[in-house]
Amino acid sequence: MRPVSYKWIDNDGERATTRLYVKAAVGAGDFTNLQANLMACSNAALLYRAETKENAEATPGTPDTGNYSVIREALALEFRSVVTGLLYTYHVPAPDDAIIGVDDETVIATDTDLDGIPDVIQAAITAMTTNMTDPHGGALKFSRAFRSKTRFYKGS
Amino acid sequence: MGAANRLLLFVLDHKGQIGRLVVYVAAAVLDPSGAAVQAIKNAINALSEGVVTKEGITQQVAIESALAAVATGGHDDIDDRIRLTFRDGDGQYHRYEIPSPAMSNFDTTDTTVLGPATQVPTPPYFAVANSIETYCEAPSGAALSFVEATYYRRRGDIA
Repeated sequence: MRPVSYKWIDNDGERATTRLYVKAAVGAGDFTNLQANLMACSNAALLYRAETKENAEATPGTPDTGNYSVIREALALEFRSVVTGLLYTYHVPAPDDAIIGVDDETVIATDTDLDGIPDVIQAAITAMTTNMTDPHGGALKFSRAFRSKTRFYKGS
Repeated sequence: MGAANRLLLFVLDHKGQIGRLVVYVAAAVLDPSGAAVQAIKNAINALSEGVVTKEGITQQVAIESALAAVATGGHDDIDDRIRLTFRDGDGQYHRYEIPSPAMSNFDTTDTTVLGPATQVPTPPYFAVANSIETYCEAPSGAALSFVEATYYRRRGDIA
């Protein structure tokens, strides 16, 4: 089962979404058939399909407890796009005790190599900037980290 | 293909609440169990008291150019809908909507009623229903059987 969202647009520029669950075996030719039938049925244009592939962790481990160990607490990580210069902030929920000081509630700032990235998050930031992009595919550079609150903590 | 793919990570805390974190990865990254996603997952796990329980990659595939493909005519507003109803093998009902239905879906004598299967040519919503039966399934994985199609307007204020 793969969730697929089809995004439509009409002649007024208004948009709508048709969300389906396609079978695991559906391939490119099947999508072509499905989309051709959808397009023939509507006056609206079918802009794109957004297809989601999921991986559920078989053994995700057990969450720890600590000072900020609930979803609404967050470590905000700010990155700057090296292409557009725009800032993107990601909120990692339930930050680890070792990252945010209890007394001053800021990210522990020791930076041995003076590269602007605190030691306590150095490895994680390196992994993130290596593998993440901005929404347009541009590379990201770490900007700053600070304590925050998550805006989205409803999930399924 | 878009310039980047959306990666959704689910993070579970010790109270059983689930947080969602959305980031972007390169367009070539399509496998949620692949090395790039696992590196990001491991980074989040290192930063958080919670644990990442699920990762989902959403890829956008362009289909049509809006300016070239939008048609006009009766029922051309996005709030005009064909609602297709299916029943799955567990007895649950599932409804999918097609916006701005083409006039060829409607009865030749009454443009507020969907045409029957015996109409020539066959109204195109039947082909959509057949496609959904063939290529889609319920979220549970159960097969879908077409039940009925109805036309409706989501808001009553559209002329």
